[in-house]
Amino acid sequence: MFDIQNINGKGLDFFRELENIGAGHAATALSMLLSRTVSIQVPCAKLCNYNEICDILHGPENVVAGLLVGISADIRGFILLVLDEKDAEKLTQSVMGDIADDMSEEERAELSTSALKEVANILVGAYITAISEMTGLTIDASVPDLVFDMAGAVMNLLAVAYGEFGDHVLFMETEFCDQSDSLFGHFFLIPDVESYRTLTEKMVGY
Amino acid sequence: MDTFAFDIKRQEPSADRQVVLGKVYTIGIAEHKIAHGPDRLATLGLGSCVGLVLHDATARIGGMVHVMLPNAPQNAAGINKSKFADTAIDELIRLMIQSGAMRARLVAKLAGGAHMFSTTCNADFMNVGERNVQMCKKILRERSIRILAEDTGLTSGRSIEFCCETGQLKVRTVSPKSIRLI
Repeated sequence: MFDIQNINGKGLDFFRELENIGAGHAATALSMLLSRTVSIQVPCAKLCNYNEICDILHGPENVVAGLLVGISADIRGFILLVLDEKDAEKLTQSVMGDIADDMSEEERAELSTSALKEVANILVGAYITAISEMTGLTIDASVPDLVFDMAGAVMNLLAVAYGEFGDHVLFMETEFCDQSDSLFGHFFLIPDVESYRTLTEKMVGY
Repeated sequence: MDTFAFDIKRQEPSADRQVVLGKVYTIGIAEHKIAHGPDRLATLGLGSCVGLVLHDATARIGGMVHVMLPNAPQNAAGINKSKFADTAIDELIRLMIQSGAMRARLVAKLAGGAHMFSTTCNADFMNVGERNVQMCKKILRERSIRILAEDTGLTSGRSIEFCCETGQLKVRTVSPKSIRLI
């Protein structure tokens, strides 16, 4: 039976590199969007128990913004962008500027959601393009879906994706840092098990 | 906090059982726990997962499990039974009885099984919350355990806390902000 725990050091290095390139491109895209420097922390790829994931996001009840994009074609699965509620607001604010000042509360909320989704689309688009170029695989992205909820509930998806195959998940994340404002975003690449194999096959030639 | 501490001081040794001052045990994903009144059981941030409690009101024993998926894989040797609805409930019943609960008195409550994201991509994967709830109900029906209350489905994450003394289940959501007692 497939066991995600069999990923060895070299495998993790490969996924770390994927994350690095994907998130690096996404940071460049974000940087252009905000006209500010956005840097990324050294990406991480590791196996961890699903109960550990929420600790990284400050506990299962911490409210986060989760932006989910489904991916299909050569590899299937999800890309999940998780931002702290405050950071999501900051990001939205810097994208929208003062255009929403004269709007009603309702209009503003609608526009914020739409703006955040658009940012996600740009980030995930850059991320996918980078990974696609690196591996030579075709990857299509779905329309992003945005939720604000408890970190535990949002991260359930990650646990469910690998739950049948063991107590561990492949955890890949990158932190974004906007120098003036310190904005932290976590990117998760969640290939399904079959796609995970497809990706590791690419590792041979890498 | 201050008033709470004050209450503790005021409590007479012969105080009746209405004063509930138990410990809270919090369980994680795919974990389970049995506790006795007045202690409480909690699990935080349920998304598509289901928090299921069994209760024997007379013996004041409660059991909680945080179920993640509906079905255990076939050749399932050495799996964590608490992870899958079809194996977790039987295991919880067994542990309840072992701790002194009576099989015939067991009743159930459940919460969770939300549909967190509305993306239609990879659809079989997305409705796992609904399938979790259905499987839990199916197993409970087959075991003739009555469901007293449920707060399932919808699109919100939930945190739950169960009082083994009163059998009350507190369900909390953050979007929208709400607290329900079921």
